[in-house]
Amino acid sequence: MPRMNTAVLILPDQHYLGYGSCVMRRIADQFRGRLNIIELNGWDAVPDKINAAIRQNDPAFVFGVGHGNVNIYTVECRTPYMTVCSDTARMMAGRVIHLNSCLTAQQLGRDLIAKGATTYYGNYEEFWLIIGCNWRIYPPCSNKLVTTVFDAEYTVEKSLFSGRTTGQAQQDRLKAYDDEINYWTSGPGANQPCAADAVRVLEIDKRIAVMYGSDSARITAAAPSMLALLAGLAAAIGLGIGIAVGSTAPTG
Amino acid sequence: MRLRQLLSRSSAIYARLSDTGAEVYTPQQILEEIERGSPIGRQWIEAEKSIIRKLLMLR
Repeated sequence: MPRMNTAVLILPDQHYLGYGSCVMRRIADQFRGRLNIIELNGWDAVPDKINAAIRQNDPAFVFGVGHGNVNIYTVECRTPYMTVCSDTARMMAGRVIHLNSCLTAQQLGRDLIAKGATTYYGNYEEFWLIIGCNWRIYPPCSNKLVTTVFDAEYTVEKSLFSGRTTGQAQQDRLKAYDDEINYWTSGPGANQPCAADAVRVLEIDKRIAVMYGSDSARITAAAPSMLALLAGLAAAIGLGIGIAVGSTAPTG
Repeated sequence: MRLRQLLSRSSAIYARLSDTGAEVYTPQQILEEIERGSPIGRQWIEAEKSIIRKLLMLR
């Protein structure tokens, strides 16, 4: 049984993957106090190190950004990591998986569910991002234009890390795409250069944002409610009194 | 037509997370994909149709 409140994040940087990894690192920083988050950054995002991190930490949640195809997900420097029917795919059994990687939803995502993964989030066709405007390439996380698709797509993590169910996280993800589209059509971004491009790319990515498997799973252990805490406290006090009475009552 | 106009005026630089082929695209290259009727071209056209449908619903 994978460990709740534990997440492994595969965050390669080469081949423009740093644009997504940068956004995910910021999200991880927000939740680090509440969850055990293991980041595999750059050259740590390679098959041996990923497998070691998963075996060692047994996470309830695995995220990976990378170049992909219908039957393969690759990691740093486009190194193949997971293919349909592989041992790696079998390692995902019992876990919630998010692969931000082109086309993987067509075969690999379905295979992960067939091999026992609890839930899979992925991209059914090409996943697009914007890396520049005015013919200039911008660095990762340098402005809203280069983060906008990831701000929407990685709402899955913000929701799951906050205790939402897998189904709720998918709803939040789709709504986040609409919110980002509104930002560029009627919000603060409407008059910026390349706003129309951002809308097109967001529309494409929203259309291919799929989820398979359970919609009722969580990756966080439910925190006890205040009522449950009070009930527990009352029981403990009652038990304490009972012991005290029992120990002082005359016998015989 | 609307999409062609947008792309011909655009100065954006796009990238995709695909394991095959090019990673970076200019608007002109997207236009060429549309002209070829490739899966990428069809993907952009379908998204444009969806945007137009939403615009029509707002009116």
